Amino acid sequence: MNAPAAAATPPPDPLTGVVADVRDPEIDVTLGDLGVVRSVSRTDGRIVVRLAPTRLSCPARGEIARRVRSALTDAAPGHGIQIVWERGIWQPAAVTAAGHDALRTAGYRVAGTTPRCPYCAGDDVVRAGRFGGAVCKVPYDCRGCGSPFDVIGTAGCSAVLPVPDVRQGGS
Amino acid sequence: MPHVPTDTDVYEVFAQTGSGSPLNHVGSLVAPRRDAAWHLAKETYGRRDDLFRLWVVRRTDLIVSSADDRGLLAAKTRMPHRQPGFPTTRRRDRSAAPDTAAPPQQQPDGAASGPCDDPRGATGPAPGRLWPALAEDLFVLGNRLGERIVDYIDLEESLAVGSIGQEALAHAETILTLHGFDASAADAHFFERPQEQWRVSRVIGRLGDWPSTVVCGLVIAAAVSVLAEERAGDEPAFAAIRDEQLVHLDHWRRWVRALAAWPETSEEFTRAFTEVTHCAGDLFGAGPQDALTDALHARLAALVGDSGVPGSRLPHLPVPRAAGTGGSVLADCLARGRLVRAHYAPQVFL
Ligand SMILES: [Zn+2]
Repeated sequence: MNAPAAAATPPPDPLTGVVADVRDPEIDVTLGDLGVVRSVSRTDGRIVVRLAPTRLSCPARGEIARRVRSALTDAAPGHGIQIVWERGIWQPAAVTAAGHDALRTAGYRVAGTTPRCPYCAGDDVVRAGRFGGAVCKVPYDCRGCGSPFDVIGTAGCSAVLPVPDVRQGGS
Repeated sequence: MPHVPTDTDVYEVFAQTGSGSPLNHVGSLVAPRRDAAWHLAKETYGRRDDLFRLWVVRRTDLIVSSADDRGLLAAKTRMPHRQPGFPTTRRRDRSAAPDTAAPPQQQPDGAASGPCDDPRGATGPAPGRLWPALAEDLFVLGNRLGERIVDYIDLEESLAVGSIGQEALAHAETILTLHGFDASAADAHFFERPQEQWRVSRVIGRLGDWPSTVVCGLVIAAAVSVLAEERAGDEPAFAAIRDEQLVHLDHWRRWVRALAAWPETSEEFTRAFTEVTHCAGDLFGAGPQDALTDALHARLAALVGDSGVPGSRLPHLPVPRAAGTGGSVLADCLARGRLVRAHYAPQVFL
């Protein structure tokens, strides 16, 4: 069954949902909610999955690819699967509302919005360093309730955080 | 005023790991229900240690002090060394340390048309040659930094060097991908070429002691961010490389200033700064020298000069790269890569 090739806006392939439901290996959130899934399409019996890593050096890419292949093989056996990483285009704005909730439950905030403590929602937070426990995480401390938390985002995204950015130098 | 928090889905977790140890507050979590909070707490905080006691309490069931209760809570006989040492204090102190980094010459998100008015250099001959050479530098730097992360007793520096090294490797691979290499070709490019075919910058041979490593990190981050700026407007991956390298550049700048300022290190550092910057003239020397490479080199010189440390001996114009440089640093890197790679699937690396 081929999708209409020349349709102006083809409906998303039903397999998009299969890929979107795959869970990130590091945080308990789906790839769809994390905004990582760009598109899923089928041509000539081959499934092409376009994914946007949250960071160029995302170390979970190998495991994400494995999980996506496994989920697609279960859902649509007998297809070749090609995974294309679209680099540098993931934006925090791609995280869904459900993704924000899931990340908050895991103790994370998403960059690009006012950094607020995931526990007390306070905005009296300070950046506690420029490098966190993973390349996509920036550590923060909440001065309101004392909780440490991580903001997920890219180096580029940090430019929109309303805190002194490393690029702007001294405070 | 002490108050009762209103977030009904936030819980505080207390755990005791042995009969002799105290019950400690170990963290907070968000859960929709009390039983879910208990299970999440057990999963989160009981994973590593056998727990002797676990207490999970809803934050709304607490009475907590406010920031302005400090005076109310202050002990009558107050002594500084009895202040509770919250685990975040040290991190906070570090992040509050004076940051003397100066802004780079040009804002990367500005329309910054540099001194060179190159038509984005997408297909021009020079950038096409410059990128793969810088990818080689990034590959060796990333591997070298990866060896160093165990050298630190300071967690933040380990995280920084680990992240910078990891990103340097990812940038090396991304650069090749953007130049038409698929995964296996990139893998072969890094792991199967003989050393004689590599054309790393002469700074790679200086990746030895820490002061030299810092200066190498500085000049490579500066060169990569300068060249990535050329394509950042039309290729988001180059924009990401630029943004990430500017973070690296800032990190190395802090180190440069610190090492130059500390009496214990300044002499050794000054020597390293002189030698490595003298070697850095070939960072843009992989292609024919033209107006573009001269302009890129000028921006590199500006970024290096911006470090606030005198004594740069960066040549005024680009110097051609030579094959066969890199010495034992490159040889060790390639040998180690091949050795480890022989035991793992190729996709583990790139
Ligand atoms: Zn808080």
